[in-house]
Amino acid sequence: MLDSMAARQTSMTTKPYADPKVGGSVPFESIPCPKDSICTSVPRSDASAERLDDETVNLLRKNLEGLFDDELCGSFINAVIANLKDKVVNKQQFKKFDGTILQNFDRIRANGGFWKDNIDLRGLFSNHLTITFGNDYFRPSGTGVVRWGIDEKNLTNLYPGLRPSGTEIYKMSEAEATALTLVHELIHGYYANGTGASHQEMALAAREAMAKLGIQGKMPPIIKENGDDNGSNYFDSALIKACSGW
Amino acid sequence: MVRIAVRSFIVALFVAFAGSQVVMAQEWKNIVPLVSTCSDVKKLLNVAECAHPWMKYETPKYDIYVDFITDKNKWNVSDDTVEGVHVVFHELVRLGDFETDLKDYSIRREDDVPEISIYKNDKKGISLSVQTGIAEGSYISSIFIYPSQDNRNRFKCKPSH
Repeated sequence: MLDSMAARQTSMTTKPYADPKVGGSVPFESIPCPKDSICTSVPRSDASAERLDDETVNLLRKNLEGLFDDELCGSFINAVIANLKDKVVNKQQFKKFDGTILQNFDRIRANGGFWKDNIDLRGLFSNHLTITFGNDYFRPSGTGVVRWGIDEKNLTNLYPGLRPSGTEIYKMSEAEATALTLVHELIHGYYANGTGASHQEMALAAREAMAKLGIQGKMPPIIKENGDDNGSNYFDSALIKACSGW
Repeated sequence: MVRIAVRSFIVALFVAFAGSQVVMAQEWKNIVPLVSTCSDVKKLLNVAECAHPWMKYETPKYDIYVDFITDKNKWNVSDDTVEGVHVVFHELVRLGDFETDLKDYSIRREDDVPEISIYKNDKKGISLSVQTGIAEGSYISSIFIYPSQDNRNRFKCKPSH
């Protein structure tokens, strides 16, 4: 088992990943704390945001496409998407985007686009690439965005249960990390008009996909013992297991 | 006379049906983490058996995921006890319809999806994923019921010395 995992992990390094560059500069509106909320996370300053150039976005797409060279990884991503269901709000139907993750990528590219943002690293993936719904990308003429900040290559925030031993830290290339981050953020964006998939929904969809595909191993909790949401970490852990053979 | 009897029967049938709908719509609320067991879940959800470590129960309006105890050293309860319940709504629930008093809730905005906020009441053991970017208002897309503060204190395994 360990040998096969090592083989899979080695094979990941041969994938056509390449590190993207950034360019352009188009600041966009910051998103205020929701009405009646006590926001404990500080809204980001978007003054430094830069739109990624075409070459970079092409590279991102290629990296995302590369994930599907691995049959298990591709099946996992498709299974997660299949597990998400249409939503109804106030008797109005909000259908899940009916397309593959690559088609969802193209949809974002044609609308809000991809952005670089120089923000502090706070989470496993969240500051590598973030998707925001506040600017209404998912409305037909909207300007929502996927934002991206690059400044960390080693995923040092991984939940300890994911590490092969208590001390070892899994390392992945920046390109691999951004491809997996893209998957995370694009799955948030399978719904329209502010009904994006929550981390909890994504974690539960990932758990079902793991069960269906026989992916096993120690996982972090979806919700921590104190009730704090840990769905984002759970989803990322499942994605890494499926796509990195770990 | 016959008409009155028929009408009464129809009304009774409607009341019984409506009552059963209310019960069906509330069933997950009666599953209490660290207290409810597989046999309670079977009765409440009307299922023949439980799947461990988690099981899914689907309805047209929402899916229920019941998580059973996985770490036997954490809680002083039997193995087939529920540890948590997730409810994912397909028909989103207006926040105000679910909870009118939010004063005991902490609110944290999701880092990477600013239009989702997590409302948590740690005393009750409830966490709500709330969509705040919908024009019609705030709607709950999923709920997690975890052990209440009282039950955490009551069933937590004491460290051995």
